[in-house]
Amino acid sequence: MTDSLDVAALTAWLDRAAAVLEREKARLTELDAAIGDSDHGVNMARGFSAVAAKLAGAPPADPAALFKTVGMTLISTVGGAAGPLYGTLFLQAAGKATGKPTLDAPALAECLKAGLAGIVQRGKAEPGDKTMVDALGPAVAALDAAAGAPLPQALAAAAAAAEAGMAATIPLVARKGRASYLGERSAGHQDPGATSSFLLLKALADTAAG
Amino acid sequence: MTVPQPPRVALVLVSHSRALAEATAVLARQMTGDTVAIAIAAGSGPDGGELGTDATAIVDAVTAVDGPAGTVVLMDLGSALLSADLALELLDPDVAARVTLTAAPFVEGAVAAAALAGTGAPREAVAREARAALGPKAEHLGEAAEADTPPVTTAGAPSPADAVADQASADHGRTVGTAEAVIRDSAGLHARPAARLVALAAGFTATATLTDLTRGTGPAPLTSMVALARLGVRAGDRLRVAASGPDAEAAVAALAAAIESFTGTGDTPPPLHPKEVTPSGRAIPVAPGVALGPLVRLDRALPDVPERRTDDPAGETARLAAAIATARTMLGAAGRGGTAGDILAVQGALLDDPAIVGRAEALIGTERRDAASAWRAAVAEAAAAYGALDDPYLKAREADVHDIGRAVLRLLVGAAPAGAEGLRPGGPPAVLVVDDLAPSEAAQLDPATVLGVIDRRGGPTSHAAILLRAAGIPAVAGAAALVPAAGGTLAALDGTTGEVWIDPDAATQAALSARRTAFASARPAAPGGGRVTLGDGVEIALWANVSGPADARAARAAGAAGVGLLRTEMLFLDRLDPPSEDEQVAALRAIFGVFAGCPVVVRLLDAGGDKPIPYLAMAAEANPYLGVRGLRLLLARPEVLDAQLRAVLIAGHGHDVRIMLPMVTEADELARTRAALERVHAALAAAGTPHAWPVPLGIMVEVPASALTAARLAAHADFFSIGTNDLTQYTLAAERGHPGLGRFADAAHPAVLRLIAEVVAAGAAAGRPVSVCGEAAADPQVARLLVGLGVRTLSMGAASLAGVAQALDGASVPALAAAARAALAAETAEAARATVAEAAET
Repeated sequence: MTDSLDVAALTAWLDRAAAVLEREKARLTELDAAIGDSDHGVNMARGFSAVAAKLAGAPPADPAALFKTVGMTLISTVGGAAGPLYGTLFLQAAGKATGKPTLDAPALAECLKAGLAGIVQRGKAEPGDKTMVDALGPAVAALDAAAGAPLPQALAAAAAAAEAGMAATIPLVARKGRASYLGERSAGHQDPGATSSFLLLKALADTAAG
Repeated sequence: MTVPQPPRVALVLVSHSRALAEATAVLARQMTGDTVAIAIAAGSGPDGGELGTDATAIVDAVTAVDGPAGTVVLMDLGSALLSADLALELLDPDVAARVTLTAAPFVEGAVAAAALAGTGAPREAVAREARAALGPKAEHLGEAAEADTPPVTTAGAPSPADAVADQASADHGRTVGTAEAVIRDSAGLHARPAARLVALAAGFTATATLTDLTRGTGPAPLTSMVALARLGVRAGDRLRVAASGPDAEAAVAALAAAIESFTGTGDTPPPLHPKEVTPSGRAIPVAPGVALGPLVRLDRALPDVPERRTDDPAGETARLAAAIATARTMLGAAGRGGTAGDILAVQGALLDDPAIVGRAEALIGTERRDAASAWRAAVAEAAAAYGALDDPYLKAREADVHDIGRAVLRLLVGAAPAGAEGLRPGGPPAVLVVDDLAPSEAAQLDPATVLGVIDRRGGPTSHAAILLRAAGIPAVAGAAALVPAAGGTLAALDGTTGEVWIDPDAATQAALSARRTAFASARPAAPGGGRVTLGDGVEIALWANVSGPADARAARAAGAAGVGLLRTEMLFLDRLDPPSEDEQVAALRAIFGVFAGCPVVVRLLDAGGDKPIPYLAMAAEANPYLGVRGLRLLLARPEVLDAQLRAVLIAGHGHDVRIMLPMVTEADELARTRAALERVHAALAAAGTPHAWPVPLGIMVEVPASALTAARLAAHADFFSIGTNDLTQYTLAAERGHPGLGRFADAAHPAVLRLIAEVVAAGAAAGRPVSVCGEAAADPQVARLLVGLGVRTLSMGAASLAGVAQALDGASVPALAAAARAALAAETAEAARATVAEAAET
């Protein structure tokens, strides 16, 4: 149990995320096959395994450097739209983490909020467009609301909100990305981007829970 | 003459797919050549092999092409937009300020952007042009731009093209200019002045047109020879040149001055009427012999090609562009200067003519015709346009259009379009007059019906010339000035002196007949059975060097006992794609059939820098004779090697066929080839395909290293055949045909003879036959030296068989061996030859 995450803990989170995404690769791809170009699982697994390798090879000095490394690695290895989007999230987060040796709940909330803003600006997506914003938005709000609680509880709340947001994408009609070409036919499928967002936040919460 | 070139806007193509981006870049470069920098950022993964985009790759691409004019970025979809957007943030802010991301359609936009960027237009104009590129497509398909698609034009606003022009005008000042000029050339604006105007106009950025004010025709774009011809300009007509673009004023002035300068004195085209042509003169001697007979023109109309549709218009457009580029290179290689040079300039301009090239591309694009049928249709239309003109000078250009049409078509459809009967229509034997005989055509000529060949173009070193010599058909080349383009009933030539006569009078005819008889009687009769028995009973086998069925028949008729060198290059030259296995099998079978029951030694493709083959994409080499040629090239292209080995084995079924490897240096090369041969055999056997097996595998000894290590190579090679031409140039370090080094171009040089002796000794020790298939074997003196050194098989062009047989007939082996020993000890080729000349007298 800890109230803030240092470089080692954040590295553990990303290692766990890489493992989770590798394990969930087939399911993400299956979700993407229904309404996209069936590459999300493979792309995310490839990107985060590159992240894990990068962090193992050259451990960063502080959380800001870590986020920057993660962002740049995702940009150049993911391939699909998730690359620039998650890349932007981490680069924005790096800005908010600058000068902080560890990140507590309010600091993490700041980082995630900035990251979400970056994604919204980059992807021009709004809540309800059936995108990762639908999972990240509720998570940021939950983290904000729970910022006073111990870190593990706050992150668990964020992950739970993300999960609910993810599930809520099922009936939505996609308005962004490849899925938007399907129009009404995209309804009835869970959004793969929202799913990977939930998986990342769940991995974060699990890491903080120890 | 041209204004300083403004900096060009660069393009970056961002796509999920590396293949898509690369192909789009190829299409865009067709518009601009290399004047516009185009970079791609496409694919993801370590080598870009997977679908996806990478913002850092975009940063790298933009940085690589960044220049003062900035960069326009085109993207395909999805993450490409996000990555490009992100790349702008990651870029150096100074560089990013010069970057425009455009929502243009990817392919159309890239092509349109490249075309405008090539003119030096500014970045925003290029980006606008790219966005507007969907317009023509929508218009063509009759679709109004839909409300929810990006607007192509905004109601009430100037069209994008106007905007571009305005922008260009704002950036470069003057945009239009006109001038008038009177044409004084007595022939009007005939093809050569027209070609010069087109070439001149191409040097300016401005687009120019020409109007005939006297006749009321035009305006015609100054990019099109065909359009200019349609103006029907005659002597004394007043013409108006108009141009628009940054350097319009300079362009108009230069073009008007050029028109005024066409005085007709230096530009008189070759007269059409035979009566005005000097009836005789000297051309370039190509193949010895005298011929006199009816003049028959090889009138090669455009060959018919089936009208095929394609699913891959871009691929066909690229194929057409490649064929045109190759045809242009071949034109350039065909000759320079003089009347021939002028003709080539006209033809070169026709190859650039949008009325032909653009029309063909349009047929590919809109009707989805394949490159060959689209090109044929465009050429036929242009030729008809010329043919319909009433000016005789312009009318005659129909032949030029047909010529370039044929050249490109030949490249597109491969082997000779006409059959042998097409080359020599029925009737009595005749003298053939031809423009630029192709090797594929020369290979089909039959000495029984073709008395001689007068090539109005061509030269003594062309592959066609080699074939004519081998077939023993007297020939001259470069005779355009001596032979009219039309007319004439009787033709004569002396292939030794280069003399040509058209419609000679009775006295000349009688003299020519006498000369022909004298030439024929100077050549001894053909030997019997291709064998010569020397004084002491030793038999020398005389084989032939051949390249196609026609010279194979000539060789058989001349008594050759086998084929010591079957050159296979002719099958691979003058075409854009490699010959298929079936095609190779058919060609080889035709030759094997002529020599049924006799040994035939097939030399695998001997290509290299001196015999470049377009589709092998051989790298330019500083010294092609010392580069990747012969077997070195084949081992680098296993697919070509395997296809040829398969074809030889399949065609060789039932024949005595042997395989010879060119340019072998080390045993390892031979071992690798043998492994390939075994593999091919195993595959054919597994498939149950009948084929020749086992097949001896030998080497052509051309590299001194292989002569010096022949004893070692004998463990791997089934036979040796010495290629004296290359062996001589490599041993004496003297390039073949070097004008200053003629005395080293002699295989009788003692250094070469020593290498030959080495090979003969190694062959004898290991029981491997040794033959000679270079020019040396055809030289009666050297042939005697070779026999003296122990060579028992000589292979040569059919025309030399009789002379060599006569030189060896009744010779004594000990005397020749003594002469050869003395020759080995001599200091020069001349001294070595003297030894055998003395032996002849004793």
